[in-house]
Amino acid sequence: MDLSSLTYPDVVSLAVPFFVAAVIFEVTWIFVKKRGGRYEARDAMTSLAMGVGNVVVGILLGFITYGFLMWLWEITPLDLGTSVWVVALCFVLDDLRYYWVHRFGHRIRWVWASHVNHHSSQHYNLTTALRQTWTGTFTFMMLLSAPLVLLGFHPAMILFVGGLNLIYQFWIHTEAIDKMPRWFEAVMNTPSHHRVHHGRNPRYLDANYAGVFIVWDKLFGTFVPEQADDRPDYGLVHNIGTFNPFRVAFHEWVAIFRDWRQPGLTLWDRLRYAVMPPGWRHDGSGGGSERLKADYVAKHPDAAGTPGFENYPASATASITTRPSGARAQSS
Amino acid sequence: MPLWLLGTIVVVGLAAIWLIMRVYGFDRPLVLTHDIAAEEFATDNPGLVPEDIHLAKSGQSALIHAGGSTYVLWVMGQDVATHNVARARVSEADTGLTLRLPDFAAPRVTLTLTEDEKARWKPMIEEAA
Repeated sequence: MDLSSLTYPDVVSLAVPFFVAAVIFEVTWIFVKKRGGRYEARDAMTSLAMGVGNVVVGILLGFITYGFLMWLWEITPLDLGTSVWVVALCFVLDDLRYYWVHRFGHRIRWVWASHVNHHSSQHYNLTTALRQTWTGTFTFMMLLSAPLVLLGFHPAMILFVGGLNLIYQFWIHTEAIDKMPRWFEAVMNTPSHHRVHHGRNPRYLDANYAGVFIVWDKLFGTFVPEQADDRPDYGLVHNIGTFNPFRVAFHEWVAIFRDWRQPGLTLWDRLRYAVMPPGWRHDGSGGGSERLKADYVAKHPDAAGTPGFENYPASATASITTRPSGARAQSS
Repeated sequence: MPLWLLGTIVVVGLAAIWLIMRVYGFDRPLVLTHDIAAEEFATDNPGLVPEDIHLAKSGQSALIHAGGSTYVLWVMGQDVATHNVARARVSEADTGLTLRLPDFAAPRVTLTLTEDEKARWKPMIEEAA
């Protein structure tokens, strides 16, 4: 089948009017009801500016990812066609890809440098969903789409379902919805599950990476349900002090380069500043999520074994004597 | 969707959202109290307990001693940011003090302080830096 000219609608662009209308609805809802979340003008505008920048960067640099995927398409002997079932299967498998890209985005600092901006808001509302990266191309995470192309899914289809995935994730960035029906919560990513992902509470660190289907987290052991007695506190473990979109977009990249410039480091240490989890320090002084969780359980032994602390025994002793350095402390 | 239409929707949409937030009062800054400053500091600096808090009269910043170091906390909208003042450079500004921090995200922060506060805070920051 000749799929060289296969095209799908640019669903993300088509969704922009809906995004704008939904934000206006949510902010009005919160104002009228006096519940359902918080808005702060400059924070929200920063998020929206990040979203606009993401679209612009996509226009300018999108050819790199698409070119790479089309090159793979040229060499693969497989072609699954364009039937609805193939698109549906592509959507599910692409969501699995998203899970791993997202997990790497929290566990590999080089990828975190791109993803950190999405977590840099101290608020959780629909504008937070639009606080998207400008530097995703440089993480090389397009490599994780390679298996899909090699299996015979056309690159245009992969980018199409990726757009649908992004649109799905828009509505879950809200505090206005508490819980969805039980069956839905069991299978799908929901506002409740994703609030956990954005929480900087020790319990919620490195949890709920799912895009659309929460089953991936349950399958790979990263699922933590939202706890009524531990409401998520949003943002980074150590928040950044800026609303400037350029500083939001690049601050962690600059931090990596500054760490590389430290005198006396071995090449191995320099490499590890890029590939180890955020918060890692060569001298052991960093405050990674494991240490933060262990310290929390040491101070709150009752939390041991509860969701998010299943692997943290009460006998652990507190280890942080100095706080994680700067905004380099890891994510929610 | 044509680029010009997308651009128009984005510009008009963002302006509308900004205006609505202003009308709803969602641009009012947080005003710090000792309790709020202490709680926000402890949350933003896991493992540290504030020992001594100097709260600015403006309610927009605080100087905090914790774990043998000195930190500045300042209001960002309805939230706060905190920073160790080690390696900070401090200078006087018309409305208070300006800190230059070795941090790409927040390289410069101006704190609104009274003349008294300026006189007390500056040596404390210089000593810690």
